This record gives sequence, C-alpha cells and structure tokens, in this order.
Amino acid sequence: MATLDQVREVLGAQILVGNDLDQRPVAGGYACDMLSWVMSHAQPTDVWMTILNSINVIAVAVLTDCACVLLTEGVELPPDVAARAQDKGVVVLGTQASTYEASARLHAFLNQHP
Amino acid sequence: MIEPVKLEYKIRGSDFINAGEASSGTKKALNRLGVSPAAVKRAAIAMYEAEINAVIHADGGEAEVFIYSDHVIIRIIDQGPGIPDVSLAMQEGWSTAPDIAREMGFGAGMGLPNIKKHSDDMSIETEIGKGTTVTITVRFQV
Ligand SMILES: Nc1ncnc2c1ncn2[C@@H]1O[C@H](COP(=O)(O)OP(=O)(O)OP(=O)(O)O)[C@@H](O)[C@H]1O
Ligand SMILES: [Mg+2]
Repeated sequence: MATLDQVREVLGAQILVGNDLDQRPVAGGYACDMLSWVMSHAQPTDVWMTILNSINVIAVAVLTDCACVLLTEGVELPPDVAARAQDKGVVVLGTQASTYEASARLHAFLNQHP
Repeated sequence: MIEPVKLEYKIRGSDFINAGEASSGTKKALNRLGVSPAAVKRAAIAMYEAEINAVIHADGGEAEVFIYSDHVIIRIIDQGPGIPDVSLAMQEGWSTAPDIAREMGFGAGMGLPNIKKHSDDMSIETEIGKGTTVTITVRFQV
C-alpha cells in the first residue's frame, strides 16, 4: 500500500506538523469542508483535504484517525492549531494546489499504487 | 450488578478551543477499559457531535457518561433554548448554526443524523426555553 511519505512527495506538499510519514498507509482521500460529513465518512487510510484550519479540524482528525490533514490553497496553519496537532499526533501537510488538483493527483497516484 | 464507571464533564459555551474535551476524555477511558476500537470510535463521534451542539446551540452544558461492561450511555445536558421541532432538526441538512460556527466547518446539519448513525439508541428530550438532553447508547458488541 502507498505510504503518506510517497503521497506527500507526489503532491509536492510540505510537512507542517508530524513525522514518521512512511509509517502511515494511504488508500484514499476525502475532500470536504463540513466537519460532520468528514466525521461520518473519512477513513483511517484517507488523506483529508480541506481549507479549514480551525482547532476543531484536529479534533475531527483524531476522531476519524485519518492518515493526515492536507491544507489546500496555501491555507496557513495557525500556531495554536499546529501545537494541538503536534500534541495529538496528527500529521498536517500543506499545498498551494486547490482541493480539486490535489484530489486528482492523489487519485491518479493511488490508481497506480493500489 | 456491577456499578458502572461514571464520568462527568462541564461543557463551556462558545468555547471552540476546548470543545471536544468531554468526548476525548471518554474516548481515552473506553480505550483504557479495553473496549473495541470500532465501538470507541462510534461513541466518540456521537458524543463529539452532541458536545459541539451544546457549545454552539446552547451556550454549553454538562456531560454524564456511564460505562457498563457491554455498553456506554452518554448524556449531554444543556439549559439552552431547546429544539422547537425535533423531527426537522433530525433531518440531514437542517441547521440554524450561526456564521461563526459555519466558518469553523460546522453547520452542515449533519450532527444529529450522525449521532443516530453512530449509536445503537438515541433520544432527545427538549423543552423550549428550558434546555435539551441528548441520550446516546453505544453497545460494544455488534
Ligand atoms: N443542544 C441543542 N440546543 C438547541 N438546538 C439544537 C441543539 N442541538 C441541535 N439543535 C438544533 O438542531 C439543528 C440541527 O443540529 P445538527 O447537529 O444536526 O446540525 P448543526 O449543528 O446545525 O450542523 P453540524 O452538526 O452538521 O455541524 C441545529 O442547527 C439547531 O437548530
Ligand atoms: Mg451539530
């Protein structure tokens, strides 16, 4: 299975918080900015793509146990949210790409690396 | 009968920074007691939704959790405005969340339906001007 480390490289994403990306399997993605939808749909092997950067994003990432949060559109991670992510062991990546572009690239890559 | 493990939490209104403390504390306790990861996840998600509702819609409240050997009962109690039409509130997409909550990603109108989906039993007692109590049961075995 693909790892988050490989996925990060393919997406050209930056690591904002987290380590041991090679230990995290990735099998899919979920793109959504409504937390209740994410909570009921995101899987532990999903990259969650969002433009949300509030503290609650970390809570939802912990609840779903998703592989990482990928902040798209160059959205920045506020320091208090970064600290919470660090504390809870949540990996946060960042990219300038839109959620659409990131999803498309992730999908293409995962198709070749099932 | 063995006494249940009881946990109690205060939920502060409009406090988005600490919102989720009750559900994450409960999650830890369930994990420690050896409850299956799938059941812990269902309980944590259902409780987080109810907790966030108390924060957003009712200016806070309390949580009471009773952990038995094969199930957990979670009660989120608030003294907020109450829910005028529960069946409407239960519909997917119905939301009166204020803009500040929407900016943070809440307000899809999916919280109550999510609680139903992730629990084995859910009930809402509510009275206009008095408050709302949401009671959630999650069984550990499927
Ligand atoms: N504890 C409560 N007190 C008063 N009203 C509530 C309470 N819980 C829910 N409601 C009402 O029911 C509606 C639907 O709740 P629900 O949790 O399904 O959606 P939401 O909170 O608006 O959005 P989401 O949960 O998707 O972020 C709310 O918008 C609100 O009007
Ligand atoms: Mg809600």
